Amino acid sequence: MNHGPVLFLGLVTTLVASWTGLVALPHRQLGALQPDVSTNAAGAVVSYPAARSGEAAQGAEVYRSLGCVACHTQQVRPENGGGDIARGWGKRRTVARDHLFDPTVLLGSSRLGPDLANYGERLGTNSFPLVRLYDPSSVATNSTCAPVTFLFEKRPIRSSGPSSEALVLKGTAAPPAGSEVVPTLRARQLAAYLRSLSTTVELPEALLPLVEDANAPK
Amino acid sequence: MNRPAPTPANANPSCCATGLPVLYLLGGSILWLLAGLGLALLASLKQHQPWLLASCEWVTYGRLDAASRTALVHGFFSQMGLGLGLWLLARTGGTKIAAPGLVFIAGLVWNAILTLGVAGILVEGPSGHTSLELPQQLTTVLTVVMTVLCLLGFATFAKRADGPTVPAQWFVLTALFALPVLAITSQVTLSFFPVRGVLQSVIDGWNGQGLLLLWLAPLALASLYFFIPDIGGRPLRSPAFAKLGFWAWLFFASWTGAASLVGGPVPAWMVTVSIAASVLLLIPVAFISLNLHLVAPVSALGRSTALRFAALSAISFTVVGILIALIAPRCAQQVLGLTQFPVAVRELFLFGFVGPALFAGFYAVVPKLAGREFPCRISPVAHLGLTVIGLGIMVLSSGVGGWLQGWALADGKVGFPEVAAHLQIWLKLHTLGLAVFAFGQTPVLANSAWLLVECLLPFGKPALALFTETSTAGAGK
Repeated sequence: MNHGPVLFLGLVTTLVASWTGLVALPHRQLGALQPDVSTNAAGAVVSYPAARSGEAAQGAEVYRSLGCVACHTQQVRPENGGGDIARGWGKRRTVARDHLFDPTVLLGSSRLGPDLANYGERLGTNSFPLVRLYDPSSVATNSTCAPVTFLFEKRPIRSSGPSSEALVLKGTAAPPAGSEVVPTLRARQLAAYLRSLSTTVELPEALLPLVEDANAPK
Repeated sequence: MNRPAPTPANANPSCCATGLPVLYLLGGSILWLLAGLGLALLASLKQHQPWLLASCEWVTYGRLDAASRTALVHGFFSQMGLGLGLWLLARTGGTKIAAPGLVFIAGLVWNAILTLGVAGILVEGPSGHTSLELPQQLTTVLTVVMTVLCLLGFATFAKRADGPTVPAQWFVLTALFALPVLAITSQVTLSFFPVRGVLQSVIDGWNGQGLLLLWLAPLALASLYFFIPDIGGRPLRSPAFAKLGFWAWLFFASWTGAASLVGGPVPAWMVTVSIAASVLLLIPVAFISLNLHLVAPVSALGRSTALRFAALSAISFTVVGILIALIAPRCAQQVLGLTQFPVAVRELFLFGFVGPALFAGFYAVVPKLAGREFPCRISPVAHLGLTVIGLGIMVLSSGVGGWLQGWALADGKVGFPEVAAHLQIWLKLHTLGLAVFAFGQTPVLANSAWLLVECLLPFGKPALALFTETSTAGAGK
């Protein structure tokens, strides 16, 4: 191997082959993926995934910018590949279509924190993620999630009375009497994004587990 | 500044042409190493002390983590590897670096862009693509700079004297070819015309793995292939093994990109291909290891710092090669993927294999270029010793912690808070290891700074003499 051209040719061939196999072919397979359109129980036509609402879409940007992906994955692995579904992180595995409209796909590669693919589902309708963001340990004891207090404003209660958005905080995180902790716009956006996280929709390529209907006539 | 600037007696004109840009790249990389480790240490502390600096948005864990990885990979490993690679091409080709002035300027721009970029990550947040964290516009400029530098490497290779090429040259050229290809294609597909959905993660994985296995690893292997026989005074045992090892590495390493996406929302066939490639990577690892270990001049280890670093690197290379193959299969990834275990493998790869290989070159090349030995002889010993101790603690704590974390996560009945709580002690140990490791890198900075002062002294002496003369003359009046 005394000639530069042989080496050069070998390098070009290898990298082109690798790029074709690991970038171009997957793009051919997934590049034209479309949302799944189906009719729900009420007879309405629904399309999944749908683009996020304005506030949640801006929240995705806050999530990206704070680097939350360093600790949180957004991928539920299949039932035979780990304890994700048994732990309740999702009802089915995550598939490519779930991330179709994410501006930046943040699958994540570390689980120092829990998976968030279905965090919106886990929050339910009543609970509010803002307290968690301000003081994670008030909700999950010994949580190592970093509080994002800089997304909140601590201010004296105004003469017109406490803000309707003020957080209900207990323990050491509670503000001194006469002050309140109010979320900024970015905190509300991030919370909206977190509430939007859900993949509990049946897709042809990822079915939801069958549920025994307790009310079904016997 | 109107002091006289005489040329020192021992200045070698040919040294300036090749030496200055290389010394600049090597020196800059040492500063990035310490900056990157400082950021990494803070990030590591924040893994278990969430309230530390919690009110400051610039230093969230995610931002520190991305900033430290960028500073280390693009500031330290890439820059030092590039400096050594260019030197190796000039040395093995019996020529001088092409356009040294341009190399120097490109190095300056590289450092300026990277400084802005790391600041950008802390202020604006990382891009979200782990292999391309810098703000987009800066990445574009950095890609141009990298491409120019790699082309200058090819120009240097083209100037070589006739004769057979050696393994070190093949590996450097591989790196110089792979970097622009990876940087340009991933830029185009992630920033300029972003692909939709999980293809982003696929490209990110391809680019990230390429940066490790086709850019940094070949540079490190080039350094080992050149310096182990050169310092030990024994030629490579088997040129045929070298060829086989090279082509097999190139072929298999380029297909490993999707191995870490096991169970993820990507086509299963590409993950399978990457797993196969990761396991088959054992073939080149065996060929290369045999070739390097067989010529290892154990008797010479005592007298050469460079050789001791090369030995550490060669051992880590073999271990990390086996680990990559062992954790690649699905059954292993399902448990160990997404935990701290891959962090341990990555740290062993970067700080155990690539780093020491580059430092072997550093300790061998800098005295030649500066025209004098490193002033402190204890400093390299401390550097190596603390590197080994710190790295050992880091890799073991991440490895064992990640192993336990993986098995706990695989059992759906164990609650997540419990998993996280049990990981705490290992994260704390990791911080300790990282602190020892980071502290262990300070001797090389001190030694280099001292060497720099000694080199500059001949320039400064006449000025100093002038100053003392006038002051004594003034005192005599």
